[in-house]
Order: sequence, then C-alpha cells, then structure tokens
Amino acid sequence: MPSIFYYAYMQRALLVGFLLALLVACLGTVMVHKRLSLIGDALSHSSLAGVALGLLGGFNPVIGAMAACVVAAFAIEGIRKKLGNHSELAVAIVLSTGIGLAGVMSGFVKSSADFNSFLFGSIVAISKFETRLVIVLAVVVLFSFFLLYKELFYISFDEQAAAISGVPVGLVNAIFTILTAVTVSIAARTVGALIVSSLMVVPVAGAMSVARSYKSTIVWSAVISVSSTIGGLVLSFYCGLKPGGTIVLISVLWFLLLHIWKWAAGTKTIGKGA
Amino acid sequence: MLQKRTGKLKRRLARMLVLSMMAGIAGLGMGCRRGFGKEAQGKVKVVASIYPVYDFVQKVGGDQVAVLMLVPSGTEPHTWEPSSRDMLVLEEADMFVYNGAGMETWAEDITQSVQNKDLMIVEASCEVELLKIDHDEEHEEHDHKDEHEDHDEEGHHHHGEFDPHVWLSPENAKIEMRTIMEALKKADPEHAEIYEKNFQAASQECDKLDAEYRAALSPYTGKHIVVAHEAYGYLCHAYGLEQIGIEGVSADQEPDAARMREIIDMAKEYDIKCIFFEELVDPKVAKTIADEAGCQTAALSPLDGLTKEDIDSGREYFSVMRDNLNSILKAFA
Amino acid sequence: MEKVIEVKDLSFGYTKDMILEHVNFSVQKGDFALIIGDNGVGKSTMVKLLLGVNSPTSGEILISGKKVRSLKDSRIGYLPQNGGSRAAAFPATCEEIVMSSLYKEIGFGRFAGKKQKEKVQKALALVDMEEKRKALIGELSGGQQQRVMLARVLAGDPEVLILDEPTVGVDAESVDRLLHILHHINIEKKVTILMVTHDIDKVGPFANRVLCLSEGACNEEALPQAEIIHAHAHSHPKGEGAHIHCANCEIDHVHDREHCPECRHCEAYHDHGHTHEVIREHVHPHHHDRGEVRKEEK
Repeated sequence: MPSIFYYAYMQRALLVGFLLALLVACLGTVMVHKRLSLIGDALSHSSLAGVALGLLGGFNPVIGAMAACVVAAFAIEGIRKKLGNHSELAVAIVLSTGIGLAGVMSGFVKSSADFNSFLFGSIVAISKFETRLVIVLAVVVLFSFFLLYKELFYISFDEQAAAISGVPVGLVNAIFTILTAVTVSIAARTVGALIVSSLMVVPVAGAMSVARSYKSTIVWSAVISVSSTIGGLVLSFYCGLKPGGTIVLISVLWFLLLHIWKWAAGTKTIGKGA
Repeated sequence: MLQKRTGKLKRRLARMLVLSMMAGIAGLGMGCRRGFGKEAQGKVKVVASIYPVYDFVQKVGGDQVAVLMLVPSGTEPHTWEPSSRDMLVLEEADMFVYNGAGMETWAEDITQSVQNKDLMIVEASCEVELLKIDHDEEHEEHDHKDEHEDHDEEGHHHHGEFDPHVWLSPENAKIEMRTIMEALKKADPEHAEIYEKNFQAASQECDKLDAEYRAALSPYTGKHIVVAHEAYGYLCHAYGLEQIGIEGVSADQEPDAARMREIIDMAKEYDIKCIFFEELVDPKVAKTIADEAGCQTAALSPLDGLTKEDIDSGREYFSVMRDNLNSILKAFA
Repeated sequence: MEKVIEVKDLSFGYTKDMILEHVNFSVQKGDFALIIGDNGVGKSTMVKLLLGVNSPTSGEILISGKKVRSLKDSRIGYLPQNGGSRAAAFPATCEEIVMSSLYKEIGFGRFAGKKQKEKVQKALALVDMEEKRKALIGELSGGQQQRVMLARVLAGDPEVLILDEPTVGVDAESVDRLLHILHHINIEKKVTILMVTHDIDKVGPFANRVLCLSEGACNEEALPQAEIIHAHAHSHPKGEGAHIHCANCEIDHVHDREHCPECRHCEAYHDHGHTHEVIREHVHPHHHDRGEVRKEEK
C-alpha cells in the first residue's frame, strides 16, 4: 500500500485541506449564528460572477473573484440590516444575483475552459502558489478570529446590545465580512465551492448538538471539519472515492451520529429549552 | 413641503429606472435572436450539433448550405443544454445533423419536441463501427498493482455504452462525411453532383491525414498517452496507441486521489514525457500530475468545441488533427 | 435627593402625530419606578427615548444631570422585553453570556481576566443562578434564562436598571422570584429601577413612583406607597386609542415587531379608508391636574 505522504499532491491536499477546514469551521460558527448559513453558497457563486467579469474585462479573474466576493458579502450585510426580521433572505437574494450574473456573463466569455476552471477547484489538484496563498490566509484569518473572538461572540449573540456596550460593531463586521469573502473566494478556487459551503454549515450543526459552551462549539466544529477533510482525503486516496463529495458526506455522517448519540443520551437539544 | 417634493422626484426616478430596466431586458431578448439570415435563402438550412459535425457539413455542403452550430463555439458540449432560442432555430431549418453515439445527450429531447415536420434528422455516426467504452481493459493489462478496478467502474460514470468521439480517427470522419453527403443529396437532389465532388475532395484529404498519422506513429505502437478525458479511443485504436484518461469519457468530473496516484505511477512507469490537457477543460489537474511525474503539459484538442478565435483564424478539422499529431509526437520524442 | 432620571417637557413622534407630549417625570436615586399604560400607549417609545435610541422631538432627558445621547456613555443597564427567549438558540453557557456585558471593561481585542470572572460569579449569585453557570442557556427554563440575562445586565454595575415588560411570557413563580431579586438589589445594592409593565397588580406593591401613560391602566389601589404621575400624549378609551397609536406602530413595527401588538387593528382601520386625523376628533379631552404633568389638548 503506497504511503499517502509519498505524493506531493497529497501532501498539499492534506495541508491545504486541514487549514481551510479549520478556517471555514471558525467562520461558519459565526455565520450560522448570524443566520447566514448559506453565505458560502452565495459568495462562491458571486465569485464566479467576478471571474466572468475579470475574463470579460481583461483583468485577473482571481482578483475579480475576490472583489465580487467582497462586494457580495457587504451587499448581504447591507440587505440584512434593511430587511430586519427577514434578514436571512439577504443571502438568498445575493445568491440568486450571483448565479444570475455568472450565468449571463458566462455566455459572453469566449472559452468555457477558463470559466469552468474557476468553478471546479479540486482539492487533489492544488498548485504550489495556492498552497502558499492558503497558508498566509490561514495565519491572517486565525489570528483575527482569535483576537476578535470576544467581539464576534457578542455580535452574534446580540448585535444591538453589542453596539450599545461599545463593541465597534461596524468595524468588526467589516473585518469579518472581508475575511469571509476572501476565504470563500480562495477556497472555492482551491478546493471547490462544494467543500467550502458545506463545511461552513454542517460541522457547526453537528457541534451544536453536543457542545457545552460557545467555545466548545467552535472546537467541535473545527474537529468535525478537519477530521472530515482528512478522512475524505484518505478514503479518496485508498478507495478511489471523489474527494469533495466524500468530505461533505463524512461531515454529514458526523452530524447524524452526534445527533443520534445526543438523542440516545436523552438530553435536550439546544434551542428547545424553556 | 420640500420633503414631499423630493419624495415625488425619488418615486418618479425609481419608476423610470424600473421601466428602463424592463425595456432593456426586452430589447436584449429581441436583439439576441439567432437564426438563418438573408444569405441562407435558396440554400439548404442545416443545424449542426457540435463542431466536428458542423465542419463536416460545411466541407461537404460547400456554398450550397447554410450551417448553424447549436453548441456555441468554445463551450464544452458535455455540459451544454439547449435553450428555447435554439429550438426556434430548428423550426426553420431543413436538416438537423448530430454526431450521435451518445455524444449529445440532449439530441433525443430536441428531435422529439421539435414541431417542424419537414426537418430531416441525421445521425452522422450511424454508419461508424462504434467502440465500447471499456477503460478497465487497459488497467487490467498494465496496472498489476491496482486493487481498485471495481471502483474505477463506479468512479468514471459514462453517458452511454459507446465512446462517442468517433471523428478523432480520419477513417471515421470519412464515414460521417459520407452519411452527411447522402442526406444532403436527398434533401437537395439538384446539387447532388456538387456534394459528391466536395465529399471526394474531403475524403482524399482524410486518406492523406490517415497516411500521415500511420507513418508518424508506426514506431510508437503500444505507447501510452495521458489525456484529460478518454476521448481518443478511436484515434488510439486506429494507430495502436493506448490512452490513459485522467477522467472518464465525460469531461466534467473531478478526479479522485486514487486515480491521480495511479496516473502518476503509470506516467513514471511508462516514462511518459507529456500530459495532455484539453483547451476546454481546466488544465489544473493535468499540471498537478505533470509536476508530480516530472513531465510537461501540452494541449490536445478532441475537437468537440473549437473557440471562435480558432475558427476565425482558419483552424478546422484537418489542421487541428495535424496539430494533435505534432503534440503526440513531441510526447514520445 | 439626587435625581437620576429627569424628563423635562418631553415630546416625541415619529411623524407629526405626537406619541408623547409634554411629559415631565423624574426618578430619584434608589427609586423603584414604573411606567404603566395600555398596549400601544407609548411605553416602549418612552424606553427608547430613555436609552437614547431615539431622540426627543422637543424637551430633554437627563441621566444623572447629563443629556442622553446613547447608552454608550451612561450607567444604565437595560433588560429588553423577552430578553431571555432571544438567547435560547445560542449555544453559550450562562457564564459566557454574562461575561459579554463586561466588554468595555475588557477592551477591544483583549481577554477577560480574573477580576472579570469574579464579577460574573457575583452577578450570577445575585440572581440565584450560580449553580447553573456552566449550563447552556438553551437548556434553562424561560424564567431562568431571564435571570441570566438580568445577571448579564447587573455584571456591568449599572446605577439604573431599565426593564421592559419583564413579567410577560414568564410563569408566575418566576415573576415572583424576579421581583424579589429586583427588590433585593434595589434595597441592598441601591440600584435605581425603572420598569415598564402593565402588570401593576404584581409589581405595584414594590414601586414607590409611577408614571402612568393612560388612565385605564392606573389602578391606584394596587400602588399603595407610590407617587403617581399622570401623563399622556394621546391616550384614549380602550379600543379607539389603539387606532391612533398605530401611527406609532406603523413605523415602530419595522424595528421592533413585538412592541406593537395592536398593529393589526391599525391595518384594518386603514382598510376602511380613515386617517388618523379623523380619529383625532373623537378624542375625549382629559384634564388631569394631579402630579407634575398636565396634558394639553389641541
């Protein structure tokens, strides 16, 4: 049996997979509690629109993707505030806009090759440049997340109260929005939109059934996310399964098992108290 | 008071904006209508599904036919789907030519839902001897280390029983052109002679191409080429090569880690110098494998969708096939 | 005595229809004060003005002698309506939630120290929730959740505690418990309390000062030791009054749905093609000269 570490592409896949799984789980914990679970989908589709724009406008599609992601993320924040009680619609609106724009603009892109290559990033085909990019990204995002942990907790718990208590809500939200947007645009290109948008939500959902505090929710999400990614890669390597789908399914399996375990243990689920 | 006025102004502006957006969309819709133009009058109006068929129809039909290509240039045909606009084009056409053999998964839907009773439907590959999709054969022979053959079967899902990329061998191209010629003769008997003459010319060119391939590739019988997706079955079959596809016959999938490893191992084992990618498929995977196995990458076109620039710069079936031959030779040199 | 809250000739309306007009009211240090009134009468609007979320159309509000701009620079603790239930879906422990109120003390980008942790324990002890400090908020009962939210407010050592309808949506036993805790911190900790409520039967006995925003709600027998101040912008006999105050909810509702239970009436009313102007003519003038406030009718 050949060693998984023998091949450079697997080394990169494991490293990048580990880092992105960690990042996405952290970002996802905040996003889920801001009721923005589908933000990964919305942003990755918007980044595709940015790719099309870049190809049409003659500038670097990666920059186009990032820019579109940041614009989309801020649009979500903006619309969310306007909609009040229906804030979750903001993601759906931006998601639709992103799909629509990408669809229409892809019609103008001369070669579909360029276009599709941005849609289907694959975790087993990561370039050296992308590896370096993800390492830098991971350092920046994890550091910011650690530094802003308290602020993010407060904002996702009660945004209004946080503002009243003097949390610079606007600044923190803006930093976080940019970090999320950049992470999604890079991750979608590197490991594929499927992995990003799923790992943003499913591990958090699993974590919430067993975690005993906010901090442990984050830790559990990270554990589920990272173990699904590594597990998916190992299965893909030894059993020939598609990596993206396998990773996502393992995280769903985690979710199911944790819920069954919780149910068997007979304790109440979060949110059903009182 | 002032507030009221600005409110009114705002509302008027908003209304104008909405109206102009609606008008814009409507205008865009009308402006985009595609169809046979005036120059198509008096000619046989043919709708061809994909590029090779389109090119063959042009070669055989010459000036007597007006051809439209259904799948836009530069689009990967495996992922394309017809729109209602495309259906309209079919309503005014005389003939619809498609490759068949499972290439156009949507062809059946089209031919069933089209209302044009006079439309002649031609499957270009109907006379070709089709190859079954069977890429496990190769692994059994050569990849003795592989314990995962059964997974390959699942992993690379096929969209049909047969390999549809028939045009990649010149011999088959000739057969397809003959089928097209027969159809054109039937549709437009007046110009039968012209079609016959055009076909003979193209047929000779095919024989020439075939001879070139044979001469160039005969020293390399039994050698392997690594390609993005397994589209080159007919070509390899005709000239004694073996293809190793990164992905299955359909081009729109992500490879799995085990398949990547297999290909890297094979590339090293067979001392392959070049990994081929397709112009319409992301070269990332090919590049990753090439990096790992220490070889180069080069483009090899399965011809299923030339870009508009290619077509405008005069590339067509024979020139692309000759480019392909040169690329393959470089991989062996 | 020191005046902690001073409302001077306050008027407010989202549109030119005033919700509150010429309100004068003050709360002194150590008071247990109430704002009572029927639904939609402007109680929650009053709270928003006190918190500095909205600014008065005219008049002013002084907190410890200073004008309020926003809560950021005052010593007010605020427990919103249904404060507990909002937290239920959030996977955090009581401790984590209480800690969040010490934000300013800890500072941007820093972490909580020993001192803050002690404060959290004390605040939880104050509301009898010390045992549950490691429990997830979602696993507690409604009353317990509310007490945790109260602890969260108390951890910041507020001078004034403003509570919006804390008796709504909580079982009777929890209400009693909450009121005793409030009474305790009012007496022992000298925290001034201002509570918006319509539940004067229960809360009344604890209060020593009451701002009554509508006539019908003011059952004076339930307020044995309180100084009662009447003020109303446009309070009306029940039913009719609701229509007018929907001018409030029409706007208010957008931000704060639960504060306007009467808005359905409002829509129905509009459906009949009336305007608020018409209803105004039905207003019965009130002449209350008691207390410090006189309401002027147009």
